[in-house]
Amino acid sequence: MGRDDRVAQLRKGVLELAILAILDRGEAYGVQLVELLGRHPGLAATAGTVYPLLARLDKAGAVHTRWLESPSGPPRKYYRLSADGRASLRASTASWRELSRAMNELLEVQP
Amino acid sequence: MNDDDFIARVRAQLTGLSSADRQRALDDLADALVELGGPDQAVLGAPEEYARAVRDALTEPDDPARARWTPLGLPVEVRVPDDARLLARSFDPRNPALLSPRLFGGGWAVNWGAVAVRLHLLRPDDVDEEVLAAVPRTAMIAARAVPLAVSAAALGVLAARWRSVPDRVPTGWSVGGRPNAWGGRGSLVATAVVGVVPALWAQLPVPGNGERLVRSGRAASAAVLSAASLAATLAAVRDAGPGPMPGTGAHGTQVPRTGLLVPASLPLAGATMLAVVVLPVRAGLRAVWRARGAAGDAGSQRADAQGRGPHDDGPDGARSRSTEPRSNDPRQGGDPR
Repeated sequence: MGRDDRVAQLRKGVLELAILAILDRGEAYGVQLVELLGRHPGLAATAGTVYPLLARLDKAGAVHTRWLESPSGPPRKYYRLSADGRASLRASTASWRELSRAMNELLEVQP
Repeated sequence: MNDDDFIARVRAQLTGLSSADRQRALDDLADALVELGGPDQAVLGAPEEYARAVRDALTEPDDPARARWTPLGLPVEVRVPDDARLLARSFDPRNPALLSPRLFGGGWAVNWGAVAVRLHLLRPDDVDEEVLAAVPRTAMIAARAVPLAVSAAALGVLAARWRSVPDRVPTGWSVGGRPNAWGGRGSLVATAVVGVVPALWAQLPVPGNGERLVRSGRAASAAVLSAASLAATLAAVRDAGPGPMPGTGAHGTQVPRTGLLVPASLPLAGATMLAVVVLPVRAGLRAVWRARGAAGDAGSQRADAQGRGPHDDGPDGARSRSTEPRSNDPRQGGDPR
């Protein structure tokens, strides 16, 4: 596994949490999620990465979907957090905080 | 359990690794056991758990969209195709890549799901299990009938013309579409079989409408190519009269370019694959939209196409984050479900 693959693996785990966090603020459809993630340069991801993650979250019951009329073209699928997804977001947020605090301590350059 | 037992049980679980990786992992384990003074399962876990950790650390997760080997960047697949890879490579709208590694052998094949998305026939996340399950039965039957019908028609034409087919028929074509190889007329039967076998394969009972549709689509495109090849041969022997002998076609400008039918049918084969998969999927989508109340004009005041939607009604902290219960879509009173 090359360095790029490792970075991709690292980001994939975080992206899932990022998607949960964005959906916690309101429902969104796929392309919109890609765009909202893109507003944070470190999290920018292609549709090819985001859609499979959404499919996985859906399968795991972390999101509910519904179809809403779109002004341009056929109905779109909107995603929002389920109760499970919200619980998973809470748990993941706690572990993320703990992890990032530990990692920051560890990676901090010693003077 | 002594050290050797522990190592032997770990070794038995590491069959998937390359022998070099396995040997290195087992050597490391032997060193660790010396250091620990024995196989302390409170530290190492059971042999099976330890082996799983080694496997996780040394292997990449199996991504069905990726080929096993990529020498010089060319994907080569030698595993027997399974339905997960069939779907991930032939029809995965979520993957925007138009080409995916071939299901078997070297090189690439078309990801028709990405083609359907580019043609605006589908959105990348339109196809899920609910939609596939909602594909009407009649559409599933029709999809599976297409390859059967095409290959049966080709067989029928071949049977009807069989008496007038000469003993030697073209079996290969020049770039210009003229015959450049000849063989016995039994080769026509072989060409027909190339269409019939996948058509029968598509009738096998497999779980999941997605797998069935993709099998039908692949079989239908194979049937179209087989039929086109048969048509090219039959047209050549009809136009060229009673069997030109090998070699006479090479310089005779009067020999028709019927071989061009084969490349000309490639777009048709692609379109057939798309139609056989996408039309039933869209029927399933419409059924889901109807059931979920999105097919009407509810929510007609929905925002414009520039990516605006419920999420733009204050995602950036405008709404109090402690408000409960939260409304995910202030514009829409309730959830239609």
